[in-house]
Amino acid sequence: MKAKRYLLSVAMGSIFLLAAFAQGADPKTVTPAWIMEKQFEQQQQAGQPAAAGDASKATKAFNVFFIGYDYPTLSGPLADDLASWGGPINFSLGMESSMGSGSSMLTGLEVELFVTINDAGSRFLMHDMAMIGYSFNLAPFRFNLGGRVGLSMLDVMGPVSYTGLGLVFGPEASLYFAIDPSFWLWIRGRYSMASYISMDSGSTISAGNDSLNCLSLEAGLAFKL
Amino acid sequence: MKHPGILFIFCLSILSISCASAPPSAPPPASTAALPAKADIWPKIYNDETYLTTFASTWSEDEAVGVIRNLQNSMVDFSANLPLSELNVDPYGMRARWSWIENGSFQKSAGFIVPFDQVSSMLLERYPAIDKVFKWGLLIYIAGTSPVSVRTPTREAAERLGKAVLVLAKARNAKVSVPNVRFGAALGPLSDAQAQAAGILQTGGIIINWIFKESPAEKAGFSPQDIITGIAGKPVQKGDDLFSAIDAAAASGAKEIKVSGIRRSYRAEGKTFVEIFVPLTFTLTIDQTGEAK
Repeated sequence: MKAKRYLLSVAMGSIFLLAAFAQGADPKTVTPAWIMEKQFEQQQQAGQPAAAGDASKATKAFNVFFIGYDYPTLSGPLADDLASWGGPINFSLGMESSMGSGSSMLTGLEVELFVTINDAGSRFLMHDMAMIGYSFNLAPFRFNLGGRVGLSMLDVMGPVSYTGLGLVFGPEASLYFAIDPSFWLWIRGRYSMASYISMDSGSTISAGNDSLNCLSLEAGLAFKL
Repeated sequence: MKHPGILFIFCLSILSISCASAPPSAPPPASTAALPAKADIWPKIYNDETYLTTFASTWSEDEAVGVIRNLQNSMVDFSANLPLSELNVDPYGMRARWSWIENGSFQKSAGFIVPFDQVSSMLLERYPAIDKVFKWGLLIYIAGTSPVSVRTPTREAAERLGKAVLVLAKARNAKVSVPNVRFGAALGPLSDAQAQAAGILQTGGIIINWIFKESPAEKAGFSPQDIITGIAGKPVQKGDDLFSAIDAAAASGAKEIKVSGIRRSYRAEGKTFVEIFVPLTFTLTIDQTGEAK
């Protein structure tokens, strides 16, 4: 068996030897195996399987944690009641994750929090929303379009106190700019509509003023997960 | 709290974000697009880089001794990474020592001796992975014993040391060689396994273990693990076949010479890779002076 293999390799060797003296390929056109092995190892360490013929193009999906400042503009029946409760402590945080490295479907979660505490009491408005949409890879930008739906919580403690629990939904668009592969700046605009049921009897909400619209303009930082 | 529901919903929000923020699931196994299992028969690729230089200088012996003395504070031992606490140089040899404290109180020391008449060759090296400061080094081969290696913070310091050692070694009639200065690579014989994998006879070529930086071989496109099978239409069975053909071509005034080789690579077939051996033709530029730049 070994002799057969040896004869075979000698026969093949003769062919290769002849080939070696013929005009061979340009060295620049043939990537050495050890370079490809090194690239493959690096991709495996990064958790990326190599793709045949496209070994160097694999990139990670868009998967970020974000936090930012939120500037809300309220409208709708409840807005008049809340007009005196404006304040600067408004922020949002959450995460977004695309299905692939290119343009692809997008999902995410976000908590939007508006808190005001003053001598008259406090107001607490929170939107806790899930998001589904589409992410356009416009490297170094990411343009995300989608809609959010979730729970909204409104709690006012002051001269008139009441609590409302409701549903919120609305469309949004955001733009991310990659400063670094693991760090982005982002801005977002969203128009959300919320409808509440009252947790108290005789409140503004139970009187029929049970909806609130919110135009949110947000900006902040995002970090790779 | 008037509205405990606030706390509950806030906690729920944080929990939902925490769950969603967990790392994505593990990627699918790479087996569908993996390189084939690599046979561990090929020369290893090191981070260390060897530079081709002839250490040529016009220094006198006294100047060379002075250069080495001035370099005492710019050198550390290769493996101990300790500064040289003692360095004695004269035209016949160089002796160095370094010391350290062990177990709190015991002073230990080690050292090396370089007898200039026994120096056989030298290599200028760079070790990017070892040390961020002392990343350049000089490897001094001494006939009949282990080589001596020191590291320096700059290439210039390592080259100055090499030039000074060469002046003193030549003055002591040592035969200091700069191996294959017109090619610039460390070569070795083919193993049985390598020859079988490449489909040639074991005497059908020689393999490149590593390429010297700034060498004619690097400029011609050679890579570690390449197999050299022929030069100018003649087979290459050992390093001397290659070097003597290059020297003969240089003597005849040729500007370049064709070298045949085989390179191991991979070809993508669908979602898998297949190991292949590709015949190549290299054009090696011949340095008429035979001196590295």
